[in-house]
Amino acid sequence: MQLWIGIALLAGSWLLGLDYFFYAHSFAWFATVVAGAAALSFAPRNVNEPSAVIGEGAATDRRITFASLALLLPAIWFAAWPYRAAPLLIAIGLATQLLPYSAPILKRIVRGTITAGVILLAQSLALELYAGLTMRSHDLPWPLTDMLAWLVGLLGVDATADGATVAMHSLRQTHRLAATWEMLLDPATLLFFIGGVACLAFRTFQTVAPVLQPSTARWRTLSAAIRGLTIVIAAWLPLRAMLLIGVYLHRVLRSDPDRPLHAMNHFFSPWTLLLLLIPPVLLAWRFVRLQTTTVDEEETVAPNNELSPPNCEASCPSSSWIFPPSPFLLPPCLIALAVALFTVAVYWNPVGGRNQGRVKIVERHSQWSPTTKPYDTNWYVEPRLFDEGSGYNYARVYRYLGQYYEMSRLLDDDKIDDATLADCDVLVIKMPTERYSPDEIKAVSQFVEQGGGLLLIGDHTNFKGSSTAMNDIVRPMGFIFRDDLLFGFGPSPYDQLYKKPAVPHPAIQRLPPLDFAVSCSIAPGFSRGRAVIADTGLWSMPADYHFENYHPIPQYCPEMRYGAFVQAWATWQGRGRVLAFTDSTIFSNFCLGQPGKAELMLGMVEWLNHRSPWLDPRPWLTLLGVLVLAGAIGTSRAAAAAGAPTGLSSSANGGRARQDRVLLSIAAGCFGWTVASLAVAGLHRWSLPEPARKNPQPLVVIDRAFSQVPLSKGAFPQGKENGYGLLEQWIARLDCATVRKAGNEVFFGDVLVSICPSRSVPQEFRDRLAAYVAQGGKLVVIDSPANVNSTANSLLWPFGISFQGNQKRQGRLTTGLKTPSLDIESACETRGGEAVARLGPHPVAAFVRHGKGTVLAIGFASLWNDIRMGETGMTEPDPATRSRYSLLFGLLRPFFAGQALPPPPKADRAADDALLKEIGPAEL
Amino acid sequence: MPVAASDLQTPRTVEVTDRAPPAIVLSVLAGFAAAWLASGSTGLLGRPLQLVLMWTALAVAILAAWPRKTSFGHRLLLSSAALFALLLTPSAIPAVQVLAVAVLLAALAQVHRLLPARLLLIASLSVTALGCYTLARSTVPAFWQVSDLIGSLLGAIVGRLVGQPLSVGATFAGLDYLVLTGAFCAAWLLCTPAPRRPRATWAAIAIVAAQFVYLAFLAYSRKLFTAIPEPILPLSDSNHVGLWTWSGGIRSLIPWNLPLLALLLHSAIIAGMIRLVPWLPVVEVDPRELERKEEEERKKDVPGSVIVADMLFRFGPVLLAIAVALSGSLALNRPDLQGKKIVAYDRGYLDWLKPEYDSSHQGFYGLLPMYVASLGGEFTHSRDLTADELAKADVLLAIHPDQPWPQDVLQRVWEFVRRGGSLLVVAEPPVSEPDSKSSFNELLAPSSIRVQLDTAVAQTGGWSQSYTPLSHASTLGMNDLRNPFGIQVGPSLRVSWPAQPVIIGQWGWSDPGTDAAVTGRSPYSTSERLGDLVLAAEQPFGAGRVFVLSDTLPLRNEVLAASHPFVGRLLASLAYKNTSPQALWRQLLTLLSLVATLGLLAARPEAWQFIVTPAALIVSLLACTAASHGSGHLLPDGRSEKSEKLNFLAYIDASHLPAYSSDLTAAHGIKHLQQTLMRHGFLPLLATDLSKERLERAALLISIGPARELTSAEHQAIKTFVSSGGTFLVMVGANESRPSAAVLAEFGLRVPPSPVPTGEDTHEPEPHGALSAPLDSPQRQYHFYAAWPVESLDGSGGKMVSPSDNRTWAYVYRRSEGAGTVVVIGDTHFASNENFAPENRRDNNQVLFWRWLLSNVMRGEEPWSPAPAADHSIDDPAEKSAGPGKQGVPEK
Repeated sequence: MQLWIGIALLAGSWLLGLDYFFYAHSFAWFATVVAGAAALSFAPRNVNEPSAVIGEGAATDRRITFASLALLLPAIWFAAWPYRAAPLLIAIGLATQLLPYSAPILKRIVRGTITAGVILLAQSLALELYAGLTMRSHDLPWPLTDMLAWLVGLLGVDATADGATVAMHSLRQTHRLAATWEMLLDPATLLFFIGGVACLAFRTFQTVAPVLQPSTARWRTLSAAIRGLTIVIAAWLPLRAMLLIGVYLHRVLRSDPDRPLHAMNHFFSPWTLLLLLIPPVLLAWRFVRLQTTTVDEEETVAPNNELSPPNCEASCPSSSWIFPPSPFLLPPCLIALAVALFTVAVYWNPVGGRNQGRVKIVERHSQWSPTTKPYDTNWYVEPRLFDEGSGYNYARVYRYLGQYYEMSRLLDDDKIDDATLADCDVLVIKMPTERYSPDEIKAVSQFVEQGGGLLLIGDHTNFKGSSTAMNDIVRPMGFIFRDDLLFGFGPSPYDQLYKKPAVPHPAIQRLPPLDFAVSCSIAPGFSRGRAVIADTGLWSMPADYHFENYHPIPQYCPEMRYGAFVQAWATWQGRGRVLAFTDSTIFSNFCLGQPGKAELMLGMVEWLNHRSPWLDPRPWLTLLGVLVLAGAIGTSRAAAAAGAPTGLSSSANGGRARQDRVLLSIAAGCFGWTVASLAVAGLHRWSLPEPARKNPQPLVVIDRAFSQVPLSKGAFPQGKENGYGLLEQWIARLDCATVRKAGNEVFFGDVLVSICPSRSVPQEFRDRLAAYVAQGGKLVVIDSPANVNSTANSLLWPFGISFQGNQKRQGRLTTGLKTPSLDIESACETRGGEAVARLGPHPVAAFVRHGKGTVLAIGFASLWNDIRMGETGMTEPDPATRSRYSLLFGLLRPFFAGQALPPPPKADRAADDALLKEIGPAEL
Repeated sequence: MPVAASDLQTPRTVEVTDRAPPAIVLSVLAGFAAAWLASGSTGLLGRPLQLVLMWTALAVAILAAWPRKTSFGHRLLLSSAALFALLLTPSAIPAVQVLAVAVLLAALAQVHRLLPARLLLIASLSVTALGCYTLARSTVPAFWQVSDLIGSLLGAIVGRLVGQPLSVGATFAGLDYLVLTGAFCAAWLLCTPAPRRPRATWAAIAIVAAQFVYLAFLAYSRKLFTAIPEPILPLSDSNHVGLWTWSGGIRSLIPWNLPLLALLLHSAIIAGMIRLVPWLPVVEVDPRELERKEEEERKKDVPGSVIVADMLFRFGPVLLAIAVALSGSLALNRPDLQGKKIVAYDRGYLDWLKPEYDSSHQGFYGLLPMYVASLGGEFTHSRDLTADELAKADVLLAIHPDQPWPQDVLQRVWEFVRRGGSLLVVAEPPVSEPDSKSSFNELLAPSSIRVQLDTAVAQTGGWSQSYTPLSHASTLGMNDLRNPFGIQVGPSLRVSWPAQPVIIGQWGWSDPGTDAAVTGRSPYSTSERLGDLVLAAEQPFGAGRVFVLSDTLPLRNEVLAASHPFVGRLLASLAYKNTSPQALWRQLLTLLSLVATLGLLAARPEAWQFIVTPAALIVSLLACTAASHGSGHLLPDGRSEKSEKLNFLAYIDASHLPAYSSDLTAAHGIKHLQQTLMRHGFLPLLATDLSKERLERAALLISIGPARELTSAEHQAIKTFVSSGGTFLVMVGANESRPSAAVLAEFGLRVPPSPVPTGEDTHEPEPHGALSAPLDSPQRQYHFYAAWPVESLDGSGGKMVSPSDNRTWAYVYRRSEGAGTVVVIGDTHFASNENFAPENRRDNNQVLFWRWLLSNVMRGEEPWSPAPAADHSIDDPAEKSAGPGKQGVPEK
């Protein structure tokens, strides 16, 4: 029983440790893993399992153990949590085995941790495979959906299968419950099965009596146990599905008809899924036969294996203390090589030769996100180019890419044919709102065949028919954009933070953590291609075509799919490449300065600006891996046969040797995976470097090292009076690129803007900042009296300029600029430098030259907070708001250009400290 | 086969083990849990959840008691019993489910030996007793009343003891637990060694204590409920993702699932009985010895009385079981009202109107006369109920009388009933206003039925899965998953002998007064009656009978579409005065047969008898129920010569999982569509099947986004229906179009499906979303909810609504076939309430569109066009609302 409980806990731990269905809960994960390992530790021992594992055994054991430990260490270092737990537990077990103590409790711990590690390793592989398959298609294939509908019918429910859903009647509505793998065979149950198989196999390897129990008998026992477990799981799955559906319909029955229906969360609650492992645990305990013995019996078996304490010198005087004898070396080496080959085949995306970098953006058939009207200081919303103003617009990304590539547009009047596509290497089709003609589709397809790169950018729920239009193009390539909308399982469904994996696709290898806005998913089917961005912890809703933008209100609905999804997909056709991305919003003008957006666009275009190699080496690597693996198995058998040279001649030690060999092979596999992963990541970086900026535009870095003010996320500012998301966006209207950076990366740009800094500034950073400005860099520090923890003066210290935090000023602002005058409610007085703005006689903005660079300090940041900037960029600003914009642009434009700012006129003393009330955007 | 020690005088083997194996204990407890789940003793559970939990319990029972070594015969027997239980337990009859558990336990007993076999057999006997009790409650109204009285007394006593008023019926009083535990306890006492009295005393104390604890918890349930904080769900207009909370989950269990506490307590007691006390040793005959003895007996002359007794024990239970089913569940009805006259009393809270064009009045009961006519009956009104009128009447209908009854009228009414007439009184929450005061009880004074001044509040919307219909010609075989009785909010009925309940509301409570009916909100308080509320009752009176229904909604215009099978059956049963299981002699016969069956089974407990007898009872119950249900299969006929229309019957398909909500007023409900059809002179009914016989009697069939494909027979029926002049109107968008594809293809039409998965080459259609289009002028816009293109497979047919440009598709396509017409609207929710919004005003443009559409596609109708609008000043608003190229224009 403990054995199966342990396996179940480890299976459930993955759902708690990963953002698979719900966001990870590290404490709960840790607790379940520890509990699982403990349960395995106290499980009845295999009757033939060697118990002499601690501080005992021949030197060969120790050498193999040392070798295994050494091979596991890189994987422990490289793997991410919770995957790291698998090699770590094995390593803990092996290390404990080396301790010079042999307390029974330690023996149990060794056995439990090693078994838990092996089980977790098998489960991790299975989970990766599961995610990889379900992200292609969540839906059950025929006839499983029909069978599920039949089962639901048995519950007395009027139900039928309709496509990939099971339609069920209730008084409230007809529920179209998505018949998915996640519902029928959820990860926890699958991992319980895989863990069970791994555990059974591991125990079989541990059996020690080859004479009494020949190899074929062992395999027969193993296969019988696996067959039993398979039957148990197969019998449980339908009942489990019916139980979940029964609970759902019960909750529907009990739901308040006046509230939105909320009855789906038990389908993907990790706790429910963990709870639902109780029946298979009981069934497995009852029906899966294991060769076990009781604890008391264990002690009677143990003396057979009690060996003398380790005496390496005595047993292997001539060989190295670390390296095991040669018969044991070859199989692990081959396994490491095979795993490495598989790893390369899975991770490696050959970059190929680079094209000329001619990028063409298709405006034809696309009314959404045009690139044609510049993002500047004059145009905000009106006149509307389409349904939206300057926000949902790709002018910024066009300008950004123009730094690296030769940009052009295929306008509405242009044809899409071979001739127009001939002068282009990367074709960007973004959000088509009309369908392409068959000839145009053919031309695009030929363009790719001949080596072009095609980037398709879609959006949620077939918005504006974009997915329908693009699916006409990509369906022959084997994949489609789904008409869904992805949400996250976090506290807000709109939060979707993507972090690239350890070995990312080359297109995203420089991608920082990225917030998605409103993405759809891609259905690759079982076509060839690679997921560039695939993530878990997501759930989808289908389009609601009744709403204008087809955007449904997030709700756990029966049609939802959940788990792993593809958000960017790359495939190849002929010599060309195709990359499909699913969230057009994040490249809009208001978004591009946010972390990861520009990097993602650049990475995708650069990937597409390469030709596919003539030969795809990955299938051959896989084949080679299979051959090497076969060789490893063969040599392993030979090594087993040559067990005598190691001195492990007794039947008991034969079992022990087998266990050691298995662990050594696992460690070698981990090592092979780690090395290959690092190699592939390095290869990607080397073969696809960041392209050179041919036409650089000023780069403004928004400081996130010392400034913590809320900025925008997606289309929406995150703060009110303390938020500066719109200020950040508006800076980009000054013919420059903006990017948020922290740490030493803040010196990456031409201008550094720090808004209301509040973190302490180390001396080292201050020195680097001074050097940066001295070498021509520009620093803007914008502060406000509202920033009570201001560290602005720490930044400004090297430049002889400062804010007088205790001198809070208000009044009418005077500058040398030709901008409307403004009343300022609250400003910091500046000291030092040349004043560029005053409130009465008090300077509230000043600049100073330092070496080749300049520094601008502005003390009235709240004038440009999100409230006063209009709260949203989706409405046309009123005159008062426009005047604030003018002041911002009037100060920053000449400063960015390196021009001197005009001094303000002399102050009128009478206006000193005048009390002027600023009460809101409308009155200013 | 285990037998009692005293039964045999031959050599025997004695088993020394007197303790039950844990696995068998688990199996017995799981079997009991399954039985309680089946009988509905575990509180309010959705029917599917109740079933799957029951199956899970049965699976545990089987697996726990699965013998280590089994023969093929045993495996076959167990598998057959499991399959039997699996296939028959979905039946809506609780007794069938309980008895199926008994069959399974008996099968387990059959494959075991010695003490395990005895234990399982006792378990089967106990469950059979519970099954008989459940059956008696649902088929013998008098028994239901007695059990309800006992339940009420139990609740009142415990309430008094704990100082919290508690009003419950048999369900919440937990009588099911007492029956099963009591039956088991009796058998346990017999099978354990003497002295038995102390054990009996202790067992009784334990059972009473358990019941007391449970009822005490129930009495304090309101306090428990309020002690748990109410969760605040973070819902907003942009986010409907709520968070499940423990407090919310626990609150939903109180008091509705508190009977689970009783299950736990009684299970613990039973487990204690089995495990703590040694059992009498079980003896088993040596098979060779038995064979020899049987050989000897064959050679002897056996007295006739012994043979008769043996036959009685062998075949008696089965024959009695069949008798139970026949007397308790067979009620043959007539499928129409041919030649029958129904007279409605015209002084009441009444409105005999129905929706009409150019009128905002919606009316209450305007469709009832049409419906009666469609069944071949005659419906008249009378304000005075003269003797002459009553002499010709078969059924007198009094809907919410709200005026004082003249004494002479009352006399005539009751004389009418005494002579053999049927009186149907339909109540609703009472009113008390200066000129209108409910007077049901004045009318019902001579009877034993009273309408209470309360509101029966259902815990589930529309009493869904909350009815317990007792055997009656109008209710037998009705599945309550779709609220076939149409009752929503009405008063409960007080029924005393000789009146008998017909429909019980199991999961609800009685809220005093009528506030709950008005506000729709009412918290439960333990002083209010919890569960087992009488919603319909009947009383024989003289040669006639009185039937009281607690809610008028089943007869109202919109609800009649769904409740018509029940209303039709009820009227037919009242008009034809068929014999009913509610007849006193049949009740007695049923009860006696049940007692005798149980007695015979208990007297000679043999596993095969516990397999065969409950199985026979199950099969005969199902057969009788099916026969009763089938005999009243109604087929309304709209081909009336008296009507202005050629045929006034319109069906909306409800048999293929349509996309609309069964909740009439929900956003995706079809209340407004029904009213629109009424305006057009139709009697709109929901079709529970699409048989040829049903369709040939109708003029219009509407299909709304069905999820289930039609069968070939239904295809043929629809083709015949259309070619003979019917109109088939399909509303389906691309998202739901796959199941409709085949039937549309029959008529050369197609709604291309969306989404198209990978691997398919089908051309994906383009969504057109919500769009507005001018009706006859820019000011009058009608709306599509989410429009998709409809295509003609061969280019023929007529585009009724299409974009202004020359596309090959349309939003509404029409095709003539024979004498009839097929119309396809590429919008599943075009007729949903939400798309009719704002409210169904007289000038609602959706209504005008439907008028235009129906008058153009119905056979024999004059095409109608909306009147021109007065103001044409807006240039082209459709361009603004629908976007370029998307405005629909109706074409004549």
